[in-house]
Amino acid sequence: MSFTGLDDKKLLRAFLEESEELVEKLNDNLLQLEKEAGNADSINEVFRLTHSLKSESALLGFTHLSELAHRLEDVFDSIRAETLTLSRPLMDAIFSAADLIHEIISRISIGQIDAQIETRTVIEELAQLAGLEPGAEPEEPSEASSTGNDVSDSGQVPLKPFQRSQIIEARERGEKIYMLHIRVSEEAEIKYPRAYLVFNNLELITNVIQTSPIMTIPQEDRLYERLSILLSSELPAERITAACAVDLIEEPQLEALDQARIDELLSSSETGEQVTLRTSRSGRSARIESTSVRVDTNKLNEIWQLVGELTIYKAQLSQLHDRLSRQRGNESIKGEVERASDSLERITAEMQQAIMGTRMVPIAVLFNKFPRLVRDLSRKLGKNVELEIHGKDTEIDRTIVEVLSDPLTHIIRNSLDHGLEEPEERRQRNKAEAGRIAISAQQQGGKIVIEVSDDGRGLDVGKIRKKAGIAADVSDEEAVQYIFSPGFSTKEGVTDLSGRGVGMDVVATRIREDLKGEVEVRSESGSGTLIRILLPLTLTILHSLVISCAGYYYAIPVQDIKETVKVSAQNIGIEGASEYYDYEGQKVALLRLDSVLFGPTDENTPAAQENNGVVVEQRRGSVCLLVDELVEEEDLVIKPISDLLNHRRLFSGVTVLGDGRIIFILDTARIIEIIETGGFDGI
Amino acid sequence: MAFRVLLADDLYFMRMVQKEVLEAKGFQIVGEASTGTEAIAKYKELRPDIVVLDITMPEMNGLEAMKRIFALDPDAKIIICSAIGQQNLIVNAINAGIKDFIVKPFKPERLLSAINKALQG
Amino acid sequence: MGEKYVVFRVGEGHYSIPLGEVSQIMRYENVRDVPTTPSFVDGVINVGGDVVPIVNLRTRFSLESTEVSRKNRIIIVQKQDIRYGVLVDSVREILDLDQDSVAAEAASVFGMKPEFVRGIAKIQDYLLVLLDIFKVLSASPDIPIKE
Repeated sequence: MSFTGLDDKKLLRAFLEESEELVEKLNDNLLQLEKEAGNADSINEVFRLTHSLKSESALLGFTHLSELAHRLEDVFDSIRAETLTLSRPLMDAIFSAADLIHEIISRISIGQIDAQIETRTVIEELAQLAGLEPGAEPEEPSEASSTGNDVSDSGQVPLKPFQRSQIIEARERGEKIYMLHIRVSEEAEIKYPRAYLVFNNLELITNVIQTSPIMTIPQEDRLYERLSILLSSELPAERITAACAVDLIEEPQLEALDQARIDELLSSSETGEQVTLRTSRSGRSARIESTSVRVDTNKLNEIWQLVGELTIYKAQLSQLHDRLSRQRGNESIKGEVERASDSLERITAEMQQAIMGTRMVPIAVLFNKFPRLVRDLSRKLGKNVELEIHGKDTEIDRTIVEVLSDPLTHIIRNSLDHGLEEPEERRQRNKAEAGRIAISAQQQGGKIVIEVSDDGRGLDVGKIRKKAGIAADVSDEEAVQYIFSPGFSTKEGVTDLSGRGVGMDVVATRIREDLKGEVEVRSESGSGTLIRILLPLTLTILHSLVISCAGYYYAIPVQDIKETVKVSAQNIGIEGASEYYDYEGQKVALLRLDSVLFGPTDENTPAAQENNGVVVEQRRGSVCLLVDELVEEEDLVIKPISDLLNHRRLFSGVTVLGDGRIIFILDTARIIEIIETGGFDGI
Repeated sequence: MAFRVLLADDLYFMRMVQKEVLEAKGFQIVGEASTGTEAIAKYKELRPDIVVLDITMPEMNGLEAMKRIFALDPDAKIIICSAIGQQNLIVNAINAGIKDFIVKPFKPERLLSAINKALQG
Repeated sequence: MGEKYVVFRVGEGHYSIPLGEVSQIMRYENVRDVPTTPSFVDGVINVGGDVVPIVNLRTRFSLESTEVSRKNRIIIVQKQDIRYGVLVDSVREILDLDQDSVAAEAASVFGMKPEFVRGIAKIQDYLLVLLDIFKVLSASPDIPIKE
């Protein structure tokens, strides 16, 4: 029997998932309590949550975490019993404790032990403010829960109290105590399951007390080349070594321990608290399947790799099939191999698609930290702020999330620091005392639009103009965009929050370069500021018009299209080296798409012929593109296009239709840019 | 007397290779299955000495089939074939009672020594 | 133990790419023609929904073109998120190569410019050129790979 009788690895995972949720709920309730100090429901809820955290962390031996949760639980017990009132300083200390709990759990989830975080200070602070006894020092666990230890004759890993009892009880039963060392052969591709085979065999016939490295939570695979097992059994030694007769396991060395060694073992074990909570987790049902799973991006990449490897073996299969087919006969085998081969190919393609689907996450993962941030900062600045969040279910590619985090945080800090006024000033301006910050996200026309707005002072356009030396004929709207230009700052003093000035230029760079997005600002003096970020979706679905030109298919995003027209010879005029189209009295540049893509043709368009034209409009200008056919309107999944296919950069992406047709998406902005710079002259 | 083996793998090619390797060393392949369901049915019918079971099969995956076979016959001897990176699956299978596992792509010697050791125990 | 390489033929030569850089090996099927590209881009192929350009290595190595046969293969190579398809005469095998048997070659081998060659190895009946395929693929179209 393993020392808790339960599957520790599963427990740890369940613990991490559950505790993270508990902490989130804890935070929410604490924020609620801040607004409404007397809210009995919140008080009870927090008490319940801290109690659960305490029990669960104790079960897994996370003594520091458990102690911390225990202290919090005590505090809220007193509050519940009304022997303690929530004061400002106490609330702050409680928040610090909650943060610390979150920190410890994060560390645990990456494999550290909770003893590495210092909890003394926070615990004492809590105790002081709550008038409680600080309590006993948490025990130092001597076995790191995440690294394998070398159980050698000299450096024995100290036994836990429960393990010590096992030895004592085994002796009382008349069993012998053994130390078993085995080695996993180098040839074994994966060592841990090999070792596990032996471990499992032993567990069935002996009492396994301790293993090194630990078997219940898999460590790094190569650590399992050597396994040491401390066990007790009444069976003869041969039976025990027989259990090690597993393929690719070599050299089992079984050593019966004499009394002197046993005494040594027992005396080196840790003293103090027993981990007693091996019993049921008091009525709480263990969390079973949830509909969502936390997935580490490394795991996703691993899956990608595996699928890739799959295709290699499929290729091998293919080769074998080729060799087979050169032989005569065996038609049915050849057919089967071919079918298997095709199935493999289809399945791997589907797997790749499925993985792509798991890359999108709701932007809530990013937005969730902002309520706390706003609360903490606003308190620090002495401002009263309310935060609104919209569209947190909007999905974005998970790789964007990390990169977006800093810029967004920065923008919000700016609003808090520079944008929103202090309560006094707001009153004077007849504004609501509480400042408002709103964050929203939505998908719009193939892009993600994220907006952060506040109802504060707005930007000081005069200062911006002066600082950037903007010409007088530039509008206010355009002038404010200069905050994104490098090295810009409108605030003279530097607070510790914003570092060197406003830093919107850094934000803009991150968004433009790292995320290939755009950022713009709108501001009204006295009323507030709005920052808008536009990000491309990596999996973009674009509503497009598919057209044909010289036998190939191309697509134009519908959002770029002003109108589709029939162009006849009389609407076409020539100015200088280029043609133009007479569009409702305006001269719009005219481009024959086949010339643009394939080079100028000698054929002249017969005078009477009517052509299909697509009038495309961008901020810079418009163009009328002459094409062969307007095929259809479609929602296309746009994929990025390889440089090798796009050396003139006329395309913004490419897509594949169900029937295998490949369609290039025209980059209309680029086409217009080229026209403006005369690149298409003579075409 | 030759040991009787049941092979379960959805790839014909895989079974072919295993069959060649095992028959050359005197094992008798009494049956082949290409799905988990088939594996269970054939086990019931043939009661082989040992099963070589692929746990990456589609349509009632191998792990499920393994469990059902153990339910049928707690003393069943099963060796599973897995891919690298299926550590958790392998550990689950070990907990369920398999004798050994081999990792694909495998060398013939590995299959043989795993089967031989498993049949000894 | 060494590293695994995919060994293929282009013309008279034997070349190889590390297996780690290869994500798929496909037959020459369903290659779609696309206009306006460098001459060595034969077209594109749909790989799991992605449009992957096919670079004809014979053309890229300035060899005479031949008809496509059943032996031709397209090797899909991938670096981070970028994929290319490389058209070769045939894929010979997947070889386990001991790093000790690879020699770095400074001078040109088979007329290949040294910057595209990671090393050479003497295999039983042929000389194997270890290619730096991504260098080959990203070289400017007007630069020949072979002298």
